[in-house]
Amino acid sequence: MSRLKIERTKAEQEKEKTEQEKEKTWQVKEETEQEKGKTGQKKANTGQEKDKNQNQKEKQKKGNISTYLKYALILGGCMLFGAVLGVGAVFGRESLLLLPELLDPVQKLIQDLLLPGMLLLLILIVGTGEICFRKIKELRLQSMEAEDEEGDRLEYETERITARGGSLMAFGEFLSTLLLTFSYSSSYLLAEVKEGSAVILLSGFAAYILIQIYHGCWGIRIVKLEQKYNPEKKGDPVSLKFTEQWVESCDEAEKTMIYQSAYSVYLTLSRLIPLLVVMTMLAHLVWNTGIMAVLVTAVLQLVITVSYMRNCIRRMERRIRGNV
Amino acid sequence: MPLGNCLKERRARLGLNQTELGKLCGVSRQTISLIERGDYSPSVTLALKLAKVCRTSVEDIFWYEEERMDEESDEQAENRED
Repeated sequence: MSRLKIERTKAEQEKEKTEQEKEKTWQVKEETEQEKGKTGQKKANTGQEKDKNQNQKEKQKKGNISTYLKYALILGGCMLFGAVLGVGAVFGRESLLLLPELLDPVQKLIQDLLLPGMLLLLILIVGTGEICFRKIKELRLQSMEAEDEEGDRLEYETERITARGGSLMAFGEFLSTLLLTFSYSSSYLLAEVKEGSAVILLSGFAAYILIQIYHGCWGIRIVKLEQKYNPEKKGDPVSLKFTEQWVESCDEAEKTMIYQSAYSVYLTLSRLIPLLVVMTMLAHLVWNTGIMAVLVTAVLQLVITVSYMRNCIRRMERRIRGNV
Repeated sequence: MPLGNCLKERRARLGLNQTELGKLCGVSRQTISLIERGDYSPSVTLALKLAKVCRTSVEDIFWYEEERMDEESDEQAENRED
């Protein structure tokens, strides 16, 4: 009986073993099928990626063609505009050539208004500067104790008034430069001038210089005021390295703002100056205004482009040297 | 996607105003305000300084808005299943 039992248990054990082996082989089969499925998916994925790359290349090609096409259209449009202007200039040649003569009485009027005009500009500039400075000082005092939204609002107001004051004075300087330049010409050096006009011109120059000096002093006062309330801001406003020292003492958010503003100025100038080059060339063609204006604007264009490229390369060089 | 942050709450817990926190981290009050409003993402250095002053980790103060949205949507999905 016991022998039978032993044999039965052996047979049962063998059955179990064979069943386990069957299960194992079945698992191995499943795994191989899964792997086959995966490789199939991988192939499908690589096929999809190839299709994607092809689509991207085609898109890039189309993009390149459309860019060149757009460029050709813009050039064509500008040429058409230039052609229309040229035809208009041919037909309106006589009236165009009359323009300098029409401007003569205007120039005479401006020459007569030189001294009162310059004095008026001086008063306006000084008045604007003083009003703005007083307002900025008040706001600075208030913002020292303010926090959160109120502090932000006061700081924004301070920046806004500083910018407005600076812009108004810059505009005043621009007008004074125009006024002065309209008021003299080489005839003052070559020909005889009427009595008293030399004195008027020199007074006009003196007023112009006073405007420049006041604007410089105003800037120094603004910087000193800022440094009084924010002592971490460094830099001597009279020094040639002032801008670098000032930016160095700013924190990262202020630097970011300065860099973004400087970049948008660069973009504005790089669009404006080529237009000025073209305008001065046309003016020289039509009215013989002289080569100086063309030279100045062309040099500005060159300096802006080259200095930007040089700065980019220098920064890359410093990074590479730092890594090496 | 901007960075989210709870710098204002952390600062309030420490009892500091924006100017004081700015001085401790070497930046201006305006920069602290910009960071709190989410209008400026600080550099790694500044984020580490802020975390050190607040006595916590950077991840406890700043988070990537996309990740936060994903976590919230996952939580909502789990709540619906329950």
